[in-house]
Amino acid sequence: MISVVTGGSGSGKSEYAEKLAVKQGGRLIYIATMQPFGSEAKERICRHREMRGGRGFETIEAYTAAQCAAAEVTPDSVVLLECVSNLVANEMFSVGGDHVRSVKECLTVLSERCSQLIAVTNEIFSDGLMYDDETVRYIKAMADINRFLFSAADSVTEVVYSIPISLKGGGLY
Amino acid sequence: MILVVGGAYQGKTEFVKQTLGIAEKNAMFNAHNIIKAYIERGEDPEQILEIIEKNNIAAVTADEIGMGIVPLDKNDRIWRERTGRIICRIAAMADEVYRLCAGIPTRIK
Repeated sequence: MISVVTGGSGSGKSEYAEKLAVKQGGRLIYIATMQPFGSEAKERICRHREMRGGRGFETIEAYTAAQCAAAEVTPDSVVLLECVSNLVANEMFSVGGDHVRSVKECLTVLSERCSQLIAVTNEIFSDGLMYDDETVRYIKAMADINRFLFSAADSVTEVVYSIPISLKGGGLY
Repeated sequence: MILVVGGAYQGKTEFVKQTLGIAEKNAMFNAHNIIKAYIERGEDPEQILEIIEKNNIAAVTADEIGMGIVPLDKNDRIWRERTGRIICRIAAMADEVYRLCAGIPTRIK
């Protein structure tokens, strides 16, 4: 089963996704995809660690599609993957190859190996700005992967300034 | 208090004035810009929450600003992050929240 949580930056989608995972019960696994490069990334990671603290997650750091696909999850586990946008950036800028295919495959593999995959992704498509070719390639890759993921998902929830809106599969909350 | 969010120029102000019938003096428009002004002046942007409460603001509008690529400029990133968090709190305070898309409101709270 796949549940997707999407939203803009600072929308509260992570907090919603964590509560959703906790509500499912079972073994809780958090797959962290953000690489701790620079002070801002470190601060962000700290904020998320604090938020997760006491909620009973086991954390696995997996920065690439291959690492995510190989993550030690069990059939009874609820896996929270945070987040697809970091994973795509890591694949694109550090690994190379067919990153869209690699990410799609790892999401499929992960979802088949756990009881529920909760994937957090990002709305990055609506600032109306023009970017360089590389960034456009990233935006297109994210759009492609999000469309694939939303289509495969049993439920999709968009979080708008902390308010969950069900886009597919009815409200889980 | 009613919070109205949505993209830029989607009819949020008109919705507050015409549809909700709230006078301009009882509304706060473009909270995202007010938050930005506080940050630029080096003041605490969270004081916007007190101002809304103290002045019995009936409606607040704010753009949805987190829906793009992470900005290159650090100050833009800080503004985007803080604005998101503060507007989440305004949403928590609000009795009703509407999202405007091309003039069409959806009540989301």
